[in-house]
Amino acid sequence: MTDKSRNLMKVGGIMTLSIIIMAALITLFTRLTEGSRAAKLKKGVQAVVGEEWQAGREVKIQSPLAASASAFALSYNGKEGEESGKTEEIFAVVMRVETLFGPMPCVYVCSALQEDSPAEFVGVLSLHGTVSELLKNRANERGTHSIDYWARRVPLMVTAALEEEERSGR
Amino acid sequence: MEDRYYLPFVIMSLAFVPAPARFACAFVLVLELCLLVAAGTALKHLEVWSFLADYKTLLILTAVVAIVTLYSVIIGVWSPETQLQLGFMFYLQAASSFVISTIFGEDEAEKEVETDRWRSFKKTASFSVVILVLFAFREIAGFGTITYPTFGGVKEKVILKSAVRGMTLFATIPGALLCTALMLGGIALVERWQDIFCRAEGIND
Repeated sequence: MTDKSRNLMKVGGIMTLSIIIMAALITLFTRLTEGSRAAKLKKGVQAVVGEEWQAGREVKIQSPLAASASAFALSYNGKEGEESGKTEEIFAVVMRVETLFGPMPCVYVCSALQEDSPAEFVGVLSLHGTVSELLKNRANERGTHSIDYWARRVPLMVTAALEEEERSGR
Repeated sequence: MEDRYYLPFVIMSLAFVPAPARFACAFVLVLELCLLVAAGTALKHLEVWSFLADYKTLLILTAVVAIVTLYSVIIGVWSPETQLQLGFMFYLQAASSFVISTIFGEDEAEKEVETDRWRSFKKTASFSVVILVLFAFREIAGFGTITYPTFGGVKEKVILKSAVRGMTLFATIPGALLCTALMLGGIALVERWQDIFCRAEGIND
């Protein structure tokens, strides 16, 4: 074996090892901190949906179109589903939506049973004042607006996530 | 004028245009930029490169990508909504010409370590200050609020109860382009004046 190929093997070894260590560290850190991330997002969603609704368990959304989206089951005055007097399960979904003001963490509320009817846009995390109102008003005008587009996609995403959850037996 | 700052400024500021007009987001991105430049410059001057000289650039770039991914995860724990908002913009910084040119910009073999570190620090610090001021202005004028980082996450303070309608433009993406163009025009103008003054002093001497 020549010096050059020995050197190349050494570098290859170091590269592979460093990539494996980095990937392992990142995966471990992500797994360890999942709970804390979800708890903070839930708190933010709770502030947007109002006091009468309580954000509960997290439903994992595994859509490649919205990889960072999270959904939380909502209970009405502490009661979920039929107990609350509502006949269906309600979910709040927080996701990144491209708007005229750049990407915004938008919150939608939808029912799991009515996947044909669009979700309701309820607000943006940590955004108050004129722009928040402006976004809400624009979202109410149905059309080609990106907030409106995602309002139509969100119920389908939640339904798919629930089906996936059922399949995996959770 | 030894360094022409405004060309890397033009290219780099474009990486900030798609970011939301929130001071906390700019702070997170600027911190990432400083971290990348500091880590890249430090790695470049490590003593272990003698037998890895041919692969130095590749290894530094791998380290930069790892730092960005880890940074994005840490921000996700500290403030998930900021991570949600910024998304791919974390990776845009790593691939930006500002980071690449600051780390690998000059022939390192002929440069002294201290001079190189000082050059990187000066360039990154001045760029960071300009971006932070720009985003603070855009947020206050456009949203009427100011977001700031705390140990527990990002906090928001409402400054203007009812923001002026016309000023909302500054919070939009077209407004970001407008602000960036104005800022770069200003920097180019100042550089030109400095050039003229330097030449005038030379003639007088």
